[in-house]
Amino acid sequence: MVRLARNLIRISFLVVILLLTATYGMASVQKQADPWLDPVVTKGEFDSTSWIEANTPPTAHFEADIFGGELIMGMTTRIPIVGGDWSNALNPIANMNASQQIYQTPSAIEAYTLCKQYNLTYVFVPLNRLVFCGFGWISINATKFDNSEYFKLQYSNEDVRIYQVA
Amino acid sequence: MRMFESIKWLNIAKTRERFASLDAVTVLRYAVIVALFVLFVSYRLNVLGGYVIPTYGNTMYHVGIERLTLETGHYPTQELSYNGGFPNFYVPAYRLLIVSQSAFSGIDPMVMSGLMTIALAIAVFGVMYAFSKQLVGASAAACALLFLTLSPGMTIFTIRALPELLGLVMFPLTLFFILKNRTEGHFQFNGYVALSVIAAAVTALTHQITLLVLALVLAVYALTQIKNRNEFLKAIVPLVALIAVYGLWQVYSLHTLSILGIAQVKYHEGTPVDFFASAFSVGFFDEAGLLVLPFTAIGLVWLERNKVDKRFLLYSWLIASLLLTKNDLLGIDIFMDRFLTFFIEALIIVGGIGAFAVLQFLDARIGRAVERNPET
Repeated sequence: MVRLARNLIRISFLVVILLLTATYGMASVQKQADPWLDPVVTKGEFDSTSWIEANTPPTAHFEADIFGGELIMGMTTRIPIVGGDWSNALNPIANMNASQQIYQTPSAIEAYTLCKQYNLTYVFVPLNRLVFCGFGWISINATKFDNSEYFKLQYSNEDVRIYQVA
Repeated sequence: MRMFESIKWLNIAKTRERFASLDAVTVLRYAVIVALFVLFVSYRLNVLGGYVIPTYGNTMYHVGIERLTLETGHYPTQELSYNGGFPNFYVPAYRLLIVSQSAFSGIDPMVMSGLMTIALAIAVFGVMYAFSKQLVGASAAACALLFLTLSPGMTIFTIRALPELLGLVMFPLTLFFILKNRTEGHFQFNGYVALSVIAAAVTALTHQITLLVLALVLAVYALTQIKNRNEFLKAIVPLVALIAVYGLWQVYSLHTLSILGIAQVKYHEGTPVDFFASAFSVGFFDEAGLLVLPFTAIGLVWLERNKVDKRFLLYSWLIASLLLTKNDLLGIDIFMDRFLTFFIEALIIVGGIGAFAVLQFLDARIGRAVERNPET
């Protein structure tokens, strides 16, 4: 009888602890960890990688931000201007600056010149999110890419446009 | 015949007998472990919930190298990152693990990275249980699992497809083999030493940050055991293996032993760890979780009061990982937030021991009260 009473107390105590863990505890963990589950890149960007794989040469170099670049790298092994491991890169800060400037500048010729300088053959333009090239989240000045003298639209869906550098 | 002998535990009658002989505390402990395991795994299933695995932490970059390895049949010596064309600095063990599973199963490396994230997270759960059980006992280990399940920092690093996740398995596994090696007297190169050497070598090829933590923990532990030649060598032998394997890899990949030229050192990559989070720092209380801290203090007192054998291994883990977490105070200023994860891992184990001590105390009190008043 004594043993049963003692075990009942033990069971009740552990049930309370587990219930608190499952409710309050896990809610607190979720609050902290959920943002890290964010894919950042959109569904359309992900879908576009099938087109990249099928329609660009394996050695193609892309203007992209870090998240877009790593998506392209991961799904197609194409080479982005930023993203991945910077430990041994020749001048990663210059790459970040160039990538950000290509997205931000209103000038098509400036973006084109930077693309040529960094040997970039394609430009990956996310339409529905901010981009991160290493210095903070920024919005893209996308209209310059419609200047067909410098950039040729090759692929588009609701989330992304991909241009070939002329 | 021997093989069948080794799986005797599958004998149904014996299994039934074993279950029937379990005492109430053991049954409750198993129930708690199963419940925590379900909670732990169910949250990690979110990794496979989207069209792409979680991308924070360069996860898709690793997938790129894995895909290239699968396509070409060899580990690339040149990078795809930052416009490519320079030697690959990263150690290959984690990536080759994903590649081997992908090649074996035919599953795309991106999906396989998600699956392996869940598998490795489960391995973290298992190895932390094994380490705590080996140090103090199964009940303390079950308590540690509670803190692991509730740890924001450990959750954040067990939901992403990163080499550090394999590091969070390999590092305590190496320490577990040292802990498990209970031979007294003269140093013997036995199976546990061999396993600690292999685990250290795999750690060296898994993740450079984990390597630094393991190297410092082993060095601190060796220092604490300087008068005990046997225990000293149990730490030094895997430490030498760790450094030698990594050195060879870096000479092969970068043709130099120096790491002073890499961007992480040059640009001081990493976020400082403060008590509370801010725009410029990671919050220690946010990452560790407040609940574990008082129990960590109790756990430390309990370990010292009971003079637990090999407790200095855990103390070394705490001291080394704390030193690395606050390396900005030493002017080094690299990856403080990443080192914090290993400090939290140690806090969880000590916290589990503290919670076990509290439960033991309460249980004894309740037992006495129930015995004194059986009719209530």
